[in-house]
Formats: sequence, structure tokens, C-alpha cells
Amino acid sequence: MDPLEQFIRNNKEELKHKLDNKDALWDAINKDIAPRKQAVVRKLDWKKWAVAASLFLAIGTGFFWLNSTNSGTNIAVHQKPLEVMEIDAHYQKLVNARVMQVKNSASLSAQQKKEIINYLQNLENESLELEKELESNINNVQIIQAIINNYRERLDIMEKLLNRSADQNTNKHERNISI
Amino acid sequence: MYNVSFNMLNNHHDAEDVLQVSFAKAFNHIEDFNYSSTFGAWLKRIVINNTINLLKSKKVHFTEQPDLKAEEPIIVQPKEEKYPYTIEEVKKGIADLPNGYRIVLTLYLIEGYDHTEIADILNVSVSTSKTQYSRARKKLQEILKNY
Repeated sequence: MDPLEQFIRNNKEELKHKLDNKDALWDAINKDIAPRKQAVVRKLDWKKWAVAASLFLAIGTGFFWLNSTNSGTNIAVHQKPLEVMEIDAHYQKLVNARVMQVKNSASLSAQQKKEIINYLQNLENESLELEKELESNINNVQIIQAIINNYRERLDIMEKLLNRSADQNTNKHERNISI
Repeated sequence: MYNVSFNMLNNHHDAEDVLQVSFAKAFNHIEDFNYSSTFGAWLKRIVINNTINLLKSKKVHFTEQPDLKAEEPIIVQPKEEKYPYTIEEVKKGIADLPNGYRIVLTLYLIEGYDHTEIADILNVSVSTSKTQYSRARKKLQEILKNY
């Protein structure tokens, strides 16, 4: 490499011509650069979304509730298993007969009748709750067994009460005879 | 960027205009940059192309020009401790070179392109680039002798 080449290579940075007014040139370049179309970024309006989500939730919940209520009714009316319907019919008949006996019993006071009817009403409410549970779990044997037990308990209580009442009447009658 | 354009055009205003147009063009078509080179190299190539376009519009061409003196052997300067010319003198000598010589010489020695790249940039053959460079170097030596 000859000395001229060597000299130029060694001093090429100093040999470069420098731009005097960079800022002015940049300003000119900036003016020539077309403003780029910015991608349309839609800002998430969280308030609108929150309202929409709430409405959706409310409507969805309402729809679900109505649907479940309707289907529940359908189950209660149309889909109650035959076995349960037979149990209901059988025990309800027995219970009604016993209730009439209790109501017509001459040996029970009005207060006693009221108490026993209230107690029986509570048991009946429990039985209705069990039937509702059965609607959501139609083949649950344990619930059916609980419903039967509930009927039996009601019958048992009324039977014991009527028997006791009958015993008291007999004793009273015997006492009257002995006197 | 500015230097390469200035060395080719030998005119401050034209070089600034080319730079402005080139930068704007590059940024407005940034999607055309395909990462096959560095962004700087791509931008520099745009500057050079725009400079060449301006030169062409000024009727400056890069075809091989007959020059009888070019065939003469290059006089090799004797090695000296210190190069006899200053940076400013060499700078002025380069600026005084004819357009074709100055462009090839600066692209080769200052910008660092090889003759294949210069041939591609100027759309001439590699041998033309080499010949032009050889003559440019000789011419520069002659100019410097007169200082």
C-alpha cells in the first residue's frame, strides 16, 4: 500500500466532511416524514364493560333461576318418580286419617290439639324440604327413606297420642264405675 | 452519510438535499427494510443511490474514460517518517479530483467498499472500478505535488 493510501486510510475520519447544521437538517427531514397512521387502539372502556358484564350476569342468573324453577316444577309435577308418588299417596292418606282422629278426639284439649297439629306441620314442612332435595337428586334412596321416616314419625306420634288418650279415658271410666 | 454524499457530489447543498430526501424516503418506506443488512448499510445505500441519481441528472456518468496517463506506472512515494501533506491538503486534493475519480476513491478508501461493491453501486464493471481508482490515486498525487 502506497503512503497516500495509507495516509488516507489512517486519517479517514478526519478526512470526512462533517455536517455543519445537523439540527436544521433533522427538522427538514422530520417535516418530510409522513405521519404514519397509528394503529387504532381502542381504549378499553372498563365502565361500559362493567355495566355490560353486570347486565349479562343479572340476565343470565335470572334466566338460569327461571329455568331451574320451571324445570324444578316440572320435575315435581311430572318427573316425581312413581315410587315416591305412591309412597306419598299411601302415607298421606294414613296421616290425614290420623289427623282427623286427633282433631275429633274428645279426650284432647284444644291446646293439646293445637300443639300436636303445629308439630305435625313442622314435620310436614321437613318432608316438603326433603321432596325438594329429591327433585335435584331424583334417585337418592336416602332422601326417599327420610321422607318415609318422616311420615312414619308423624303417624307414630299421633298413634301414641291417641292411644294415651284412649288409656286415660278407660281409666277414668273404670274409676267412675268403681266409685 | 453526509460525507459519502458530499464526496460524490462535492457540494454541500446538494449533499444536504440528498440526505434529507434519503432519510425521509427511508423512514417513509421503513417496511421495505428486509434485515438482509444492517439498517445503517441500508440507509447508506439509499443515500448513495439518491446521490447517483442526482449525479446522473447532472450528466455525470461512470463509464470508463480513456486516459493515456493512466497506463503509466504509479510513482511510489519514498517512505518518510512523516507524510508530506496535511489532512486539509489531502482533503482539498480529493475535492479537486474529477467527479468519477473522487467518487471511486472515496468509496474505496474512506467508505471502505471493495471494488465489487463499488461496481455494483455505480453499475460498472469491477475492472472499471479498479482502473478508475488507480487513476484517481495517481491524479491525487499529481494534485498534491502542486501544493
